[in-house]
Amino acid sequence: MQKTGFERIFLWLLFVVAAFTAQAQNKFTLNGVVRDKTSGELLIGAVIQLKEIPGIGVTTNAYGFYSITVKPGTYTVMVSYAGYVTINEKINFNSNREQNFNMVPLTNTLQEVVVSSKKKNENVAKPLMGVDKLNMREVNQLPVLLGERDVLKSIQLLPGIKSAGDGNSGFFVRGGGADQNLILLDEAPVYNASHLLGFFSTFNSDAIKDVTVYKGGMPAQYGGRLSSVVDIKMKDGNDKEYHVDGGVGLIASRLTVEGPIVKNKGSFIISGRRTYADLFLKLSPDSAINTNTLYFYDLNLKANYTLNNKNHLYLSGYFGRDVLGFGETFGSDWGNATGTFRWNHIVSNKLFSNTSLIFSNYNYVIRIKSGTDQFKITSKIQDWNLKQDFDYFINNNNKIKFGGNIIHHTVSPGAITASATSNLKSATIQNRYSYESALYVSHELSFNDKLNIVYGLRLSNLSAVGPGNYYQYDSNGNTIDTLHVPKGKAVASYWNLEPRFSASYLLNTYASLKFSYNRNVQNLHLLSNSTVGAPTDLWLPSTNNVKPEIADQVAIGYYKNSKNQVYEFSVETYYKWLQNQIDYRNGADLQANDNVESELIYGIGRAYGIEFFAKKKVGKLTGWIGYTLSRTERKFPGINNNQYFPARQDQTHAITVVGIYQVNQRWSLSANWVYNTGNAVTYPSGKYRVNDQTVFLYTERNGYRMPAYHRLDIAATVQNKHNPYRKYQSSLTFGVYNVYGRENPYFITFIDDPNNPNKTVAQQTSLFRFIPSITWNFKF
Amino acid sequence: MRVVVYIALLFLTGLFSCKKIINIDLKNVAPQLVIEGTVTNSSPAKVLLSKTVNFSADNVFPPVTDATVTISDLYGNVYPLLQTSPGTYTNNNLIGTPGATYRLQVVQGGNTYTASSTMPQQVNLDALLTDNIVFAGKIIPIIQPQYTDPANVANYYWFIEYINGIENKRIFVWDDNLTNGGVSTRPLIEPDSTINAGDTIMVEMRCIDKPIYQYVRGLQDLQNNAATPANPISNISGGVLGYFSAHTRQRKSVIIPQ
Repeated sequence: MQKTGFERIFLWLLFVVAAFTAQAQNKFTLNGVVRDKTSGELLIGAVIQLKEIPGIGVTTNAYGFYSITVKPGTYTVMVSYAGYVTINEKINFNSNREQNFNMVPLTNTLQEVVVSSKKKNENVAKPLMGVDKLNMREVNQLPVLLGERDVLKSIQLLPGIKSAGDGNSGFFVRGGGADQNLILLDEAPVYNASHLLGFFSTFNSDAIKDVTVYKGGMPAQYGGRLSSVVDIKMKDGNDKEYHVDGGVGLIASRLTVEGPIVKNKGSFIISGRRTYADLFLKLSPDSAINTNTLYFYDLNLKANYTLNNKNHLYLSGYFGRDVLGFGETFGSDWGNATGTFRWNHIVSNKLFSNTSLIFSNYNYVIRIKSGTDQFKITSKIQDWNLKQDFDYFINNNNKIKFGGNIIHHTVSPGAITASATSNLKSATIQNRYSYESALYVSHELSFNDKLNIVYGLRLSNLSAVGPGNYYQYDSNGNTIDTLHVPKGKAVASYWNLEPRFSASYLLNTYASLKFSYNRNVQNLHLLSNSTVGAPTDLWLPSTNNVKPEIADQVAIGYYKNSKNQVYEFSVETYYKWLQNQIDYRNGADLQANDNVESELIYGIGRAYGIEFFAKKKVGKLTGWIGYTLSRTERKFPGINNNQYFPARQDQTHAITVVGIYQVNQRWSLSANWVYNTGNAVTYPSGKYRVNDQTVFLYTERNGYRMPAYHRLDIAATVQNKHNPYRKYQSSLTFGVYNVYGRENPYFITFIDDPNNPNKTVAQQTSLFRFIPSITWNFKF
Repeated sequence: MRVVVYIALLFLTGLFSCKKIINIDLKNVAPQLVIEGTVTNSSPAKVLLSKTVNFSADNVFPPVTDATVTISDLYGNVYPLLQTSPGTYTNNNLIGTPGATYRLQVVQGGNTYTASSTMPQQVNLDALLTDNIVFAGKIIPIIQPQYTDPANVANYYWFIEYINGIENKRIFVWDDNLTNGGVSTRPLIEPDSTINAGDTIMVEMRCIDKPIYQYVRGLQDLQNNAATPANPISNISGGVLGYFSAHTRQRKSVIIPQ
């Protein structure tokens, strides 16, 4: 059964490859990479076209590689990329050859206005749905909380992606949960993408080159989460000369150094960030305050080296940590560490290979001291992932991606280590081990100028293995059997086929219709029962009890660009079916519980909606308006009489308005306004008395709504005077978060009325009203 | 540990947050029966019957006066409980014995509600220690009940703290996972503590059985702002709120030193 699955895929793949190589005999291939001329950074998604054959075009892959194949002749090759001067070069295709392109960046944003208006209307023509690429230049101009640029906050301004609220970097994509987003940093999954319990995300935007968000229509090379993929690529570093970038803000400072290791052959980048709120605490004369610690830091490192024309090595790493402590009593720190080693190998002028070894770790430590009791709680999730990907540029109308990977997960839910003087006992909850593997193939095919499709298949497996005890439970969660599973033996193995399909049909040069269908499977599940994400939330792999979550999504969209390519408009509608969704029994104990699986219940879900998006791409004023109308519901046995009820993130209406105005060469202004229906929430309907206290009575899950959330943020950025002969540049950004001081609810609690003990009232806690910021950025 | 992380979170958000009372239009709910029954080893058995009210109503909970309440043990002894004040049913002759199982039956409005609970063996409360901790910028006096946990059984503890005779509403409940077979001085930490030097602190220690531990933890979850609050799971059958617990009960007092 298992073997035939793999065999079928390979046979199909061989067939497809053979069919296309047969017809590509009397043609020549041009291949190479596209780079930024000044920094040597590889450019992802640059478009290579031939002037003489309109309609033919290829884009560079994630490593800047392209391959284009045509009949013999002389052609004008056009290479274009937003923010760069388009290259036009006559090339004689009389043999296969290698050609790298180095593109010159536009020196200021006003110039970009002119040139990028000629850009191809890629958003209309590409058969990709629900994909958004963040322009880092735009991200850097948007107003943000306390002046900390944040890619995860910025993507929440896109339609279909909803914020979990203030003080929370979690986000919800098309009705999915916050744990259903796969966040990749140089291919390594980041398990907890937030700092300071969610006020900031872990990504230092200085070190980031490219951010792509897939909220549907995920290509088959991605898997493991139901809702979305946020694929973040770090900068490679300048291989020509040394540069320093930095910023000083109200709560944090950043510094980035990049430069060549060997000129034009290899480069490095080191980028660090640290908050210093705790330094102010130290200034306090009060020992109750100055012994508190509260900070986080990030370190991004990357190095790459070109061995020769065909081989390129990359090593990248991330390390970030939050530290929170109150005197000697309580200390806690948590964070992610990731590492990726990659080997790019150009097998032939049409076949590109990437081999990655990826490490990812998230852990937390809590230290508690009270009297003679001193103990520490630790927990972690750790992955080793070996991955092989191939990009096969068969011809200009056919491109195949295929590959596979295997991940070894280790989950340590919790270990308590007590000091020798302590009365407490050390205890460890057993580790969970599993292998998650996948094989995929994806074929991008242009039938003619009008119809483009991408279809693919992903075969995924999760095997929960020993050593360890696995339990069987009855319907009430009582243990009925214990399975002693030896090392390496599987207690459960889940195979899933995940078909992926998307198509675009050009109605005319400026408009298209798109359709997609996707199945996604998720085998790691986050258990969280706090209103905001906590660092102690626990990841749990699928086991004999916990089945893989499955989502099927269909989407249809209409895309239109204005004739002058200044405006872009799209509308997408989707419907999603969710299986094996996880919730908790009432009164579940999720922490430090060996039998945590007995606390879970399983249900189904559905999500549907329509997203409108209008964007002005060029001009002095740029920006967009997005509106989403949607619903997301869950159904669990025993909850709300087995009826569908709204999921927490069910926000009926969501609006975002973003504007950036380039006043002149030095000044730019920006603003964004967001509005969404409040989250679904459980409120009490009555009350009663137990233990001489008022206890609230709950009658239905998520039967109420939080008040609507809305907020306006503004920012102004001023650059120093432009001088092309000076390397040093600096800018100042002033911003105000929540300008009109809306008191958006963080949470609502129900309490005895402080003014009248005979009454009960609702109390709203809100964060962040009129938070000003100033940030100084420099570069030399 | 959840509690500690939650408190840390509150401290952090406290830097930016503001609170206000808001008006929410909450639905009305039909009155439901609430049963709170206790059998202890040192006080008469007592069962309180009342009804729920709407959220917006006053904190006046109508007593249920038309019920027949009995508690029986496994030896065939049946103890009727008599209404001594509206909604309060007692039997002064029923003092519980550790190790015994008690069965509650309430007949009211044509329905019968039953529950059973086993009184655990008493774990002796040896002492109340006091200490201070510095937490979230405040010095907080803490009380440490000291006891030796028996190794061979699962134990569940529920502590009730009285500050100068006034009950502290925070719920302190735990099992013996961290202390099995050892001496425990796990503290009662009240982050919003109003305790001052010279105050008299009385602590009541209850040894409870597992269903009651789960019920009380459900109450504690409600105090800790769980994402999806739910009614604690009652050990009483028949669809009713509340609990029936047979538990041991000991009290000790301590004066907070200067």
